[in-house]
Amino acid sequence: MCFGLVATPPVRYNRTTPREGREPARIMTEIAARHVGQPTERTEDLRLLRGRGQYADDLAVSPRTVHAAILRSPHAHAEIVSIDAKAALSLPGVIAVVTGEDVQALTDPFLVALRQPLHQWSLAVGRVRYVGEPVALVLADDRYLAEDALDLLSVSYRELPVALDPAEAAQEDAPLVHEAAGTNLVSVRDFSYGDPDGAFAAADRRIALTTRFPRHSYMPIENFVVVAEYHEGDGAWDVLANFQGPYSTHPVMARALRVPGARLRLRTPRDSGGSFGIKLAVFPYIVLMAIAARMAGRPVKWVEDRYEHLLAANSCPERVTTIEAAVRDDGTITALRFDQLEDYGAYLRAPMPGPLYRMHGAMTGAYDIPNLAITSKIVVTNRMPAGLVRGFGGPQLYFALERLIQRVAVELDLDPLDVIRKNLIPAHAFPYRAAAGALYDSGDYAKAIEIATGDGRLDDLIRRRDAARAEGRLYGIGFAAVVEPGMSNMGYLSTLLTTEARERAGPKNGAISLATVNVDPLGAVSVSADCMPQGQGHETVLAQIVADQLGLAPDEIAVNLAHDTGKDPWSIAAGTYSCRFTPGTAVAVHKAARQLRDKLARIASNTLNLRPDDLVFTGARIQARDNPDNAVAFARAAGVAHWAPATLPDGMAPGLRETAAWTPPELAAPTEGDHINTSLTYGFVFDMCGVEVDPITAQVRIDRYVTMHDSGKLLNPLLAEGQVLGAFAQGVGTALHEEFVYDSEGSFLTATFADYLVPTVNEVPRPEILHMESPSPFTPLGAKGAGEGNCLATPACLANAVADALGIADPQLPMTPKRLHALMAARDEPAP
Amino acid sequence: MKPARFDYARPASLDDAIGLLGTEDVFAKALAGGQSLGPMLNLRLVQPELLVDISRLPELAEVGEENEGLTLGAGITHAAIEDRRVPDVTAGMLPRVAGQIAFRAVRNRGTLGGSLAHGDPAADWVTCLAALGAEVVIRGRAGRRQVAVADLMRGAFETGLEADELLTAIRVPRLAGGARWGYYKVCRKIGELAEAVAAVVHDPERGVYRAVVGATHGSPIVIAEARDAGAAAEVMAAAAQGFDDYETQVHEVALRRAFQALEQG
Ligand SMILES: Cc1cc2nc3c(=O)[nH]c(=O)nc-3n(C[C@H](O)[C@H](O)[C@H](O)COP(=O)(O)OP(=O)(O)OC[C@H]3O[C@@H](n4cnc5c(N)ncnc54)[C@H](O)[C@@H]3O)c2cc1C
Repeated sequence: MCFGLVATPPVRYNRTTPREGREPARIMTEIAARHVGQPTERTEDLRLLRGRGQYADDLAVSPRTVHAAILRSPHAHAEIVSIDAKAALSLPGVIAVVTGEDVQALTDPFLVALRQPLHQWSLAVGRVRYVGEPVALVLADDRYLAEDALDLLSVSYRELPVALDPAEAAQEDAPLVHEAAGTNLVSVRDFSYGDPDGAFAAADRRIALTTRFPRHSYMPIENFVVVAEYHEGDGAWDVLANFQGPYSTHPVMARALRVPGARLRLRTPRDSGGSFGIKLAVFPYIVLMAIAARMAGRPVKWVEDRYEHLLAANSCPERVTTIEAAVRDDGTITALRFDQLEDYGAYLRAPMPGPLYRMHGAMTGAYDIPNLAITSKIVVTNRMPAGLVRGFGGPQLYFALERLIQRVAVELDLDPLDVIRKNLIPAHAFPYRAAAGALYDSGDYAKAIEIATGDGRLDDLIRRRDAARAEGRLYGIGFAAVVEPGMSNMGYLSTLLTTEARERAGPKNGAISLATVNVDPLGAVSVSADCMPQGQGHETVLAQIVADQLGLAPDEIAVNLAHDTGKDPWSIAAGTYSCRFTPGTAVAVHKAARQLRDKLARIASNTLNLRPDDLVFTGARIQARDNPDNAVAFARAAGVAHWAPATLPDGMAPGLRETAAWTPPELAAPTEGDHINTSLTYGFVFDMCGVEVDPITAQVRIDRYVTMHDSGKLLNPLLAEGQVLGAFAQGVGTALHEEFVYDSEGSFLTATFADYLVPTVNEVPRPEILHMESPSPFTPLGAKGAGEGNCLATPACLANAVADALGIADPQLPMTPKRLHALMAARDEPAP
Repeated sequence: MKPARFDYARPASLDDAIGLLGTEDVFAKALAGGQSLGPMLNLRLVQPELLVDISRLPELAEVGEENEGLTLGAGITHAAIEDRRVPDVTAGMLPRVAGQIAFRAVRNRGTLGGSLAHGDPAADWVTCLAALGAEVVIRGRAGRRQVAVADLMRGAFETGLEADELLTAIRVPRLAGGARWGYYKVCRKIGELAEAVAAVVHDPERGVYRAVVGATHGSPIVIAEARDAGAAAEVMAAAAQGFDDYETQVHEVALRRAFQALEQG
């Protein structure tokens, strides 16, 4: 009944040779990579797998610390008439009760990307707008007492009508989630690129479908943790939290707390028990615990439990997309029209509505489609606020786009793979400017598909399908071709605003990465940077990069990515999200190491009487390129910068600590015509699978799954494989299992793991992973983001396979047995 | 997710445990493996004043094998049965079913008695033991009584147990030579409780041909004279309450596949 494990196929790599006359535009390194590109095992695992990780909840706190518990709303929409805390406060061990009134007095509402009065505080003020919304906070000597006190709080509510379904909430007569906004449809923007109307008028066929991408979230093992302390003397907060960025949210928190950023010191621990985007959403709790700590005059610690996490932490937005293609009879798509309605829940938390705009420049996916019309609509509902979830707008887009491609094939009676191939961006077109402005850096999509379908892989799938169908079994094949964005343009969200509003607000573009590399007097190297690793293996890769630059071994490089906004380098783009590590932070580290190398080369050139260019760094020595005996030890050269600054070459600063900043020029602000290069790198993923559906239990069995990736240069193939496997497992979850479900009153029905099913190793077959490398010309390392591809591709690919197996047009996610059963029954019913 | 305050007692004997459970004016609950009670305490769905830990009572760990069958203490864990650390009189049915309950960590602690007393309609033991015609031995202040597993459940999460009563043992009849069984569980992922489950036991020598369908909205459906899959499915359809189309279909398929499993031995 449940899936068996497929034997582990080997990972294969194919390197594309640079095409003639198309050398990458900028190559900044000529260092022989000894460690970068190697499948080095993760150095983090030594501590993580032996239970020696240092997670937020493990770190020691002051003995004066008090513990917090949160009372949450049982109603989806209600006025708070009164809160009576007397009984709770009289319980021994209870220190304080914080309510919306305190929050309103001590903080400002969070900034919102839209100019709309969608005020959100860290506790409900006057009104609750979703089940699970924080209503009051209890501080007590321990968590048990705090929860006892929750039971004694008495809140009286006056219930209000609810707006739940996105399409219904967008109607004029729907109950208003925010009365001050006057509507639930808080933003509608139309975009047009090329000549979509002309293309649709001239089309042989128009093919359309509507998809609904459901609410869900990916589950970190570790939930939110905040420890906040207020320093009366400095008027400043010191907060430890497992926040993951983006740090553009730091000013949002500081503004809410009414302090300059420097008075909100935010520290993140070295290890994180997973995030997948989710740990951004700890930020309202950081503000809440901060004011609680100020009120109590003692440090406050809060650890979110699983019930709270499922109920109210985070969800991806639900998106209803109507997508239409203008098509020629041969399958060529000449234009696309998107109508997207995205539900952000009760509040638009920063940086929402990111998912609706993150892919904006790349809405045409892997296809060369010059004409494009997009309507993007934002609706608020009485459900938990949406936030970051791995894939971030990509799964929503590709579920619509790749389902459409399959429908085009069915309607025109073509092979879906032919429709994909016919519309792909040709290899000679790179760097390719997509209709809405994305500048795809490199790739050879047709070749990737050729490799993936080759070696008998596609033939085998077809054989399996034909054999199964001959026996009357329900077997289908699915494909998905996906462009995977890496490192977001900090200006993409301003595409949401009109050109005039953008001008008023000032330009936004780029994406700054910052990192520091330090060499001590004995030559020991340490690295700090602006990322918050969550298990990806960043420490390992950064050590590989620095080792190559400095001629050392990776285990000689100490990388500690615990972060402190008071001391470490960071910018508003800091954090680990949207695949920014490889095109961003890794480059900053590379540059900082490079600067150190240049400096050390100049120091050594003095000693050795050689030009810096004639030196090589290898084996912990700096030596003449053509005479290895003419050398100085790395540590010796380093010592000079510390012990004998007077002997340094003219104009050289003493010490050996370099901070590098990196922002790529390709990330320009949106143009007047709303063209936006939303990301820096664009990888390619092609998925292909065969599935079988049990005709009676309606369960889906994944028979074979092939996933092909071009993520540019792989810095560490082992870590890339980890990213693919993780994203694939989550893609399977999205396709088959995971959904946040609300009833007609807005009550939340999936608040335990008995109701919210997360697939485990038993339900996730091992995919066959293939790679090819088209280095990015826009980053010095040639590497692209690679963390989200299968979250984008796998739900669409599995849905296409199920649609093929059952001959249905509308497989809804997640494809649960119950849903498929209903679809099969409807299909089998004779037409009226 | 912290439980409300409670007192904890670990009595040394079954009689002491029954005494504590029957204390006037004290809301007491027995704690066996804690695999169902633990989450309920944490979610504050149940807030007993006293937990009576019965997990180490020697009386509940006893095993007796007689000609007619096997007596298993209510405190025996799923894992002990899975690992065949206790004898088997069911041609492998008990160990096989035990191995399909939850994950190993849950099986290491979860017990036969806890599973039956909890009264979850989807619990594997309820269906399996009802099909085998097993009985439970119940002890309380009023003495000892014996009830068929099939009659223990009164509805979803409801049993006929009094506050001071404990399940002490389960008596499983011995299958005769030539007896066969089939068991089939539909679940969306491994380690989940069943969406539908069915068990069939055919023991010609003893004149038993019984099928049981579980994971209903209440007590399991017992089909005493099963004869064959088609007939059993008809009985099930007539007895089932509150099933939607999908539920009817998966329960029927569980039943048919249990019969198939029986045929295939
Ligand atoms: C993740 C997970 C998955 C699961 N999956 C399955 C599954 O697939 N199939 C399945 O069948 N079960 C499943 N279970 C339930 C599991 O089998 C439990 O072990 C069982 O339901 C309870 O047994 P226990 O010994 O832990 O009882 P406890 O949790 O200690 O007690 C449960 C209830 O029974 C009462 N009780 C306990 N012992 C006695 C006794 N001797 N006499 C009277 N009352 C008693 C308690 O007071 C309490 O009300 C799952 C549980 C979990 C946590």
